[in-house]
This record gives sequence, structure tokens and C-alpha cells, in this order.
Amino acid sequence: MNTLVPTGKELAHVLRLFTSNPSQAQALVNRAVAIARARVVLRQCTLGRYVHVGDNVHCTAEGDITIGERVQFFGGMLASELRCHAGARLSIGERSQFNYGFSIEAHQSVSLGRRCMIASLVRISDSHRGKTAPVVIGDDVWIAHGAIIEPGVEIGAGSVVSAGSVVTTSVPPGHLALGNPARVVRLEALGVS
Amino acid sequence: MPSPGLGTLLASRFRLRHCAEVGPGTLAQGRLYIRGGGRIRLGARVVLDGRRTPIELHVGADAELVIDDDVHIAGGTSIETLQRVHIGARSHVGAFCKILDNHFHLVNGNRLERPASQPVRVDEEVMLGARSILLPGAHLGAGTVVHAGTVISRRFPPGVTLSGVPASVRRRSA
Repeated sequence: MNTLVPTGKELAHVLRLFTSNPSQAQALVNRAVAIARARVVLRQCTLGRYVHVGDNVHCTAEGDITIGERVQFFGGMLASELRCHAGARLSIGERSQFNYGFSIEAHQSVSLGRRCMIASLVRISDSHRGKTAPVVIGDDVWIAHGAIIEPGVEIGAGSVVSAGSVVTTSVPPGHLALGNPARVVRLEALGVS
Repeated sequence: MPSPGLGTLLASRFRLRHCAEVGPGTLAQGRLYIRGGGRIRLGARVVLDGRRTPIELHVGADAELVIDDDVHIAGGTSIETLQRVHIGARSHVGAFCKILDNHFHLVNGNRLERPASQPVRVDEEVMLGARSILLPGAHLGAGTVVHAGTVISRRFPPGVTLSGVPASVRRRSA
């Protein structure tokens, strides 16, 4: 039996979904399109399953880009960029999420952990003004809108970089980095907010 | 500024067709993304200049965005509100500004939970420099000048000049 051809029952189910809950059906279609788009836009990368590209993502992979399972690039009003120069490595852990307009550039090595959240207009580069040093970002790190991560910076697991910060020194795990240049505060000291 | 032609005004009306109120002479040029389905009230002669880079207005279902008369908003600006953002008359919002009234994720605890909103208010005749960021709870008094790249998350008195990350008062008015 050929399982690729849908049966009448299956077709009826899909039809019922589209007529009874159009917004959910629309979301399903959008997701399928985004997964297909990822296969095209990120074709030079090593991709995990279900990588999602919403819109407006540009990728230049002269080096080695690895993207984990279920990573989501939401896309939006401004174009985003992934750029990996020859001989460099760029890796993104599974279930990380990216908003619009970010730019990540690797001359040597940039690695992001799992479940990271990268907000809009974030810039991460491992080379700037003649200094090249790897950037390592741990699991569950949240980098807020417009933050800039300079070369050689390590951000520990669970840390948060606040909006508009410029991070020039490493951030230990479980800390909040804020300011230009960024200073570091323990997340526990902030209380729940 | 030369008065806009009839075609420009009609195109603006079309782009702003989902707004609750649009004042006379209000212009929306270029690309404008309106999301979320909330109430947007635009005053008279507002300019939303998305010709080079788009403008995003994300207003959550129960939220309200109020932009008063003669406000100019430059391209690349994104305003996201889940409660209320108010921009006072004759203010200027520079290119690539971000105005948020919600952090969208908890800083401590479950990142997938959404914290409570804190309304953002910008009073009359405020100049917001390019790439400045207004975070939840920001309240700028009348006549404030904000340098480019400033990050603001609290209330400041009217008539000051602000700069830095996080923002500090650079100059007080005479």
C-alpha cells in the first residue's frame, strides 16, 4: 500500500480542519512553509530537524555552520544575517529562537547553546578591530534587543543580557549583564520580575 | 515640508485602514506592519516614514497605542505594546528606536511566561535619538532630549537631556 497517497478519510480530516478552524490551519501551513524555506535558505548548513525560517534570513556559509533541531528564526521587518567565513565554525544549539534583524558573524568560532533567545537587532561577532577570539554563549541565555557581544566573550548558562548593552567581558552563569560597557549583577539579587 | 499629494494621502489611509482613529493629514509612507489587532489612535499630521526601512506597530488585542498630533516617526522603529503606549504631540522618534511596554519573558523563572506590562509614556516635544530603547515603565517629561542609543526604563523629569546605557541625566534645563 502506498502511504504517500492520502486516503479519502485523511483528506476529509484535512478539509474539516481547514473549514472548522481556519486560523489553526493557517498556522500549520505557515509552519510547513517555514520549515521548507529553511531547507532552501540554509542549504549550505548542517541542519537539524524542523528548523524554522520565517522570513528575511540571509546565510553565507563559507565555513561550517551547524544548526540544531527546532531552531526558529522568526524573521520580520528587517533582514537577519548568519555569516561564517572560510575555516570558521558557527554552531547553534537546539530550540534556540531568533527575532528579526540579528547579525552573527564568525571568523574563527561562535557557538550558541540550547534554548537561547536572541532578540531583534542583536550583533554577535568574534572579530572586531583586529581582535579575533571565540565567542561562547551557554544554554538558556537571553540576549535582549540591540545588544552587542564583542569578541572573546563567554556568557554562562541562564544569563541575561539586557537591551542595548555592549558586552566586552565574560558573564558568569546566572547573571544579568547591563550597560555600555556591561557590568554584571547576580540574577538572584534582582528578585522575581 | 511640502504638503502631501492626494495620492499619498489616499495610500496612507489605505495602510492605516485598521487603525481606530486617524487624524487629518496623517501620512504612512513605505512599509508599515500593523500587528496584534489592538486599538491604534493617530492624531493629525502624524508622519510614519517607512520608505527606507519599515515601521512595526505591534498592539496586543487589549492594548492601546496613542500617537498625538504632529509626531514624526522615522524608519526602522518598532513599537510593541500589550497595555498602553502614549507618544505626546510634536515628539520625534528617531530611526531604529524600540519602544516596549512588556519584556515578553520573565527575567527570573520560566522564560516562556509573560510578565505584567508597565505603560510607556512620552510627553510633548520629546526628541528621541536614533536607536534609543524605551523599556517598560519609561516616562519622559515634556521637552526631553534623548541622545542616540540611550536605554530608558524609568521616569525622568521634564526638560532634561539623557544619554547612556542605562540612561543618566546629562543636562538639566535652565
